Amino acid sequence: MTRKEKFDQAAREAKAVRVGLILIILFWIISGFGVSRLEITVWHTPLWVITGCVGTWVFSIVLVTWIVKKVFKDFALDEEDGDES
Amino acid sequence: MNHNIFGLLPVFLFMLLMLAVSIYIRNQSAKKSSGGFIREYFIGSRSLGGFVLAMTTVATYSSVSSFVGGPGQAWSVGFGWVYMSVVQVTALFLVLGILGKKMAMAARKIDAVTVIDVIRHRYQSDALANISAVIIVLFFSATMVAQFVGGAKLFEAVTGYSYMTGLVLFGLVVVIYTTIGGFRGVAVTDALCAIAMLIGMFILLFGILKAGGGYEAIMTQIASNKPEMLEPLSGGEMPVSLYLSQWMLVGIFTVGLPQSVVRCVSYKDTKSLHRAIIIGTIVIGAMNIGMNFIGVLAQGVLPDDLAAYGGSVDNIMPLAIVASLKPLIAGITIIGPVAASISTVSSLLLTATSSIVKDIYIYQKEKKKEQVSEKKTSFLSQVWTLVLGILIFIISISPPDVIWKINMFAFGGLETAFFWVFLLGMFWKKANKRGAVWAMAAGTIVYCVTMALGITAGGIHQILLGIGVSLICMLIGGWTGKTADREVLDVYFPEA
Repeated sequence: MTRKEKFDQAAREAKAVRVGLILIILFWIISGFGVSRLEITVWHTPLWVITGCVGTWVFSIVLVTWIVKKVFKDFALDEEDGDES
Repeated sequence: MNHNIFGLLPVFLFMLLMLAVSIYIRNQSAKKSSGGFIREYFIGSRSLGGFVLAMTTVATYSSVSSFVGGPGQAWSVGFGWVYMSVVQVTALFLVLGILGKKMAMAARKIDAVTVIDVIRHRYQSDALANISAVIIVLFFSATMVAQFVGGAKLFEAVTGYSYMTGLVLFGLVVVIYTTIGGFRGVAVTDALCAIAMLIGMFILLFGILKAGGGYEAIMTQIASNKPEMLEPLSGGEMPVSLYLSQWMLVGIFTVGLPQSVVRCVSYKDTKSLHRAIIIGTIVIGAMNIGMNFIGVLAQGVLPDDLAAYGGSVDNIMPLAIVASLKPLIAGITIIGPVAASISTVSSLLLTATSSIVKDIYIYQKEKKKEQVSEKKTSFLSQVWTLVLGILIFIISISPPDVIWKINMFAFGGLETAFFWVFLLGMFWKKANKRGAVWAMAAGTIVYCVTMALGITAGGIHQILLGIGVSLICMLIGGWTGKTADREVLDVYFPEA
């Protein structure tokens, strides 16, 4: 990778992160505020607490892992070292 | 349980461990180090691996309020608070994912050690670098005092030993081990602190569940006594504007926090960064959801109104610990919040010192073409860390009111000052000196003034006004001022 390619790649990754953020926010709204309208209780716990808190967390982990594996690329951060992958 | 030695012992042993680890790391890195003292002392010669990078960033970010003030609020308002704390799962993903690689590559190219080195180079402005240094030292110092005070108060409430005993026990020791270990020491001790926080959290969870008569009993009690705690808006206690504010304040704009951004110039390679993003997201979520959930469950052991507990939510967690755990177990559990406090202090202390020594002193010397010997930088860095640390310690014994005021402004103030300067600096070619100086100065002033006067836009936290003004300044400056030279921009936006 040339230095320019690395920076372009980093910019692509940053864009993916921003999209990821929007998806997490949407998931958070729907699984929390949205689900709370259903007024379902599971094992003495309102369902929205489970989906909105633990659910958003698990969703974030899965999404972040997916983005890191699919979009993020390994390369040398130093200029001289050339390509690593 | 006053003056029970079991309350004191675990924290004491933990602090000894921190000290031993720092001494060990110092000896190890003295053997390996080849890249100059400053780089080793302030960023660990860019050698952090994924796990340590994740843990140190989480530990620095999680403060004593993650263990005391936050869960105390959760006890008061209910699951809405837990739901709100979930926004923090994005914190590491955002800062490392957006700034991580660009900062790392730029810093290597210009041999930057501090985030201010990067700011100075990107905007070619000594004035901006100096304002940055002042903001960092001021806000960090107030934050450190608050961490010390929070930790020592908790220690006092739980163990029965005096405030001063707690402060000496962990306050003085963290200053010493930070001075000894430098960045590498801080990173590793931070990682251990993060683990201690998780352990403390799990012990407390089981303790409270047991003392409250089990999960089912606690939840049934909440449902019949305080049903509004089961709603996301908590019967009006948690308005939508508060959720919006928190998404900004502890979610999105944390990208600008210098103590997080400095992590971007200190890790080893892209593999470490990738691992850290994933591990960090898991850990920060577990910690925030876990602690605040515990706060809600504390209703099971502390079912009365707030007035019965001294009228402050800050009393809730110490009381809950005392009410549900035996002295020795309580002593082990408070390692968690103590660890949260010291791991924040250690990183802030080192970053503040680097601003004083590297960004102000050494820079001025170099500018006058005076050589500063390796021996002298080494001496100065350590002495300044120790002196600033001791100063913070002394202020913490009886902090003046002004410290609390500064501390109130610190978190959002740092975000306002640095968010656009970092973000647009890395992603917008036209971001320039004029814009950045105004963005940092005006943004921070607007933020602090609106905070002090209680002015808001639609009930949303003042961070919105600060960040908004800062953005406008940055844009106008960028459009009207001179763009940086091609040579400078090539570091951040290479064309080949």
